[in-house]
Amino acid sequence: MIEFVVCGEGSSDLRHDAFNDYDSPLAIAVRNLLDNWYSEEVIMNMVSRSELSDANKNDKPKRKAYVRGAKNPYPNTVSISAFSACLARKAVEHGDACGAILFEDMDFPSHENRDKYYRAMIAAMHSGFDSENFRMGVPMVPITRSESWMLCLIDKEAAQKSYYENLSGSDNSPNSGKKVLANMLGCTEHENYNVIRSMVESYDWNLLPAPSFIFFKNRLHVVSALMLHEAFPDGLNLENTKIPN
Amino acid sequence: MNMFKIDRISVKNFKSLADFEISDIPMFSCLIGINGSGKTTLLQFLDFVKSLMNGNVHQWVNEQGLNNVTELLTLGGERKYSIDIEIDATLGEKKAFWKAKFNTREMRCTVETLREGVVEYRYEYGKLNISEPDKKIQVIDYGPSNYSGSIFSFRETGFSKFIRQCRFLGVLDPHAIAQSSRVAKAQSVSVESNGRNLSGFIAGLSADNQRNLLAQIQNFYAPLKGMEIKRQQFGWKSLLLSELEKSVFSATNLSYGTLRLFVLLSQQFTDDKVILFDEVENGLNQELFEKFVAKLQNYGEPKKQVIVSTHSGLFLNYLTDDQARSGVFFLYKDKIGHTHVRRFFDIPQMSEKLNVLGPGEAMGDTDLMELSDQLSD
Repeated sequence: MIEFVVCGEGSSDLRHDAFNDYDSPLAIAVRNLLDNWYSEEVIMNMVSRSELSDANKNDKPKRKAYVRGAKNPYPNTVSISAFSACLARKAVEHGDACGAILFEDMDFPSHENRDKYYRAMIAAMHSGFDSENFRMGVPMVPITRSESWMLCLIDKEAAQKSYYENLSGSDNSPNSGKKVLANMLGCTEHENYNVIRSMVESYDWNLLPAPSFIFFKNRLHVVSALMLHEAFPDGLNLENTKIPN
Repeated sequence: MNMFKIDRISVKNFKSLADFEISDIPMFSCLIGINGSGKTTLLQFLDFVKSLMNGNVHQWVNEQGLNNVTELLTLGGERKYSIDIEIDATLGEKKAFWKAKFNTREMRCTVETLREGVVEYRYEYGKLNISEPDKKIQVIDYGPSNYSGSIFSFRETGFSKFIRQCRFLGVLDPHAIAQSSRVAKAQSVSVESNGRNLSGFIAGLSADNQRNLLAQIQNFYAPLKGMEIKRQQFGWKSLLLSELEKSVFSATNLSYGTLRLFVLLSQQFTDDKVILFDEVENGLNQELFEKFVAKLQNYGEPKKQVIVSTHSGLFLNYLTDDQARSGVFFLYKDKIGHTHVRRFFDIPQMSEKLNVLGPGEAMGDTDLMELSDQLSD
């Protein structure tokens, strides 16, 4: 059995749509990958960010008054680290062999320093996992948003699909992932996820070439191998799947 | 306890406060936001309202360095020559509601309504109607009286007195704080918004209050040994101090931060009910923040309402989560430069962050410019 606690931002990315009882597109992606690699039952325990933080609000660590500065110039990384520590604790509640997947969009409108911010977000997630001595954490951070991955998946024409990672991270941009995706699907931005959800199951996510997805996929592969006491995939281990190059 | 506080402010057409409302204001509030978001403007607006109740709008406009009162009006859009104001307040046992239209051409409120407990005042066309249950409506004809500001600068009410008991302290000037003040016999003076008249104000305090103030300043600044007011000719008063290893010296020798402390702590001993501090943490060492935040939450006896603006996450970090949820307000401008406000920790992502971080950490971990853009979309 492969078990993860999974925390996303909304039902459009990695969160279970409890109202409609739908798996979100990225939850389908995770399941698709794991089914590809192993013939094990996959259990994903969805937890929302607010449930996660509510459960921990009376158990906050002593305030350390982190501020941004030369060593840590990026916003949101302190809270990301705290959320990943909460998620690690949640995973441990499910047993020693339960992993954790934390999804976070980049929400970083500027292209400048984008790669550094990407690495800082992933490092922040691992810092939270490490603070709980938790080894089975999997950061899921698309560059720049989940739409970039969807676009890479469905655009059969593009030979080098990683250019979708250069789309603006801001929803207001005329070149935002949401707008480009809606344009490609022939629907409105609000309809994007209803349309794409019905499509993503038929794709092989293992082939998706976006570098940020490959980085996530490798970490997921290593952690699930660890969970099942299987050999790591060729050339991959817990250390070299931790921080992107 | 008899509590006096401003509960809600609504204003239209005052600088960037084009259509602005802030409600459920607690006894201690912090205004945060990026530079130019409108924090000082909101505090300045309350000072303007005070000038309406004092009937000295012309003087206030001059003190602000404005050439014309129309410089207070919101830029852009349809030009209107009035400022619409609504304020809800708690005056001890009573609730009060005041609504006014300030006309910049006439420099007065041409229409006003004030409900104070069961009494209602309506002013229009020079006439003030006063209605109370079971009493005949009283009409007072003020005719073409020559006054500026509010009719309640003439007609004293609990509300107008309360608004006059708001004290705004803006950018404090160390020279103004330290200089001597001239006070006529048997008169008291207030500290001005730049800190001027501190020595005159302290001279007017009772001996007990002077001792109490000294003890409180010593709590923040231990080397201070003594404080006295030197009374000179023609009513001039100056502040003299002594430190452990220094004999008596003038306040002009104190650092800016210590002078600010004098001003910030001295206002506990006023009759004012509402204290407004702009950029409250300026000049204070971070080591003092914990004590200072605790002091501001129990400021004066009886306790005064305190509204501060701050850029410091460390300052916010000394609030409890509950205090932060109710009392931290985020001001931001929309695309056309109008100020809006949200309770900071009611914003979903900030509420989540507060569950895992301290209030100041959550602020420090957030790109406030990006957040302003998100909220203004």
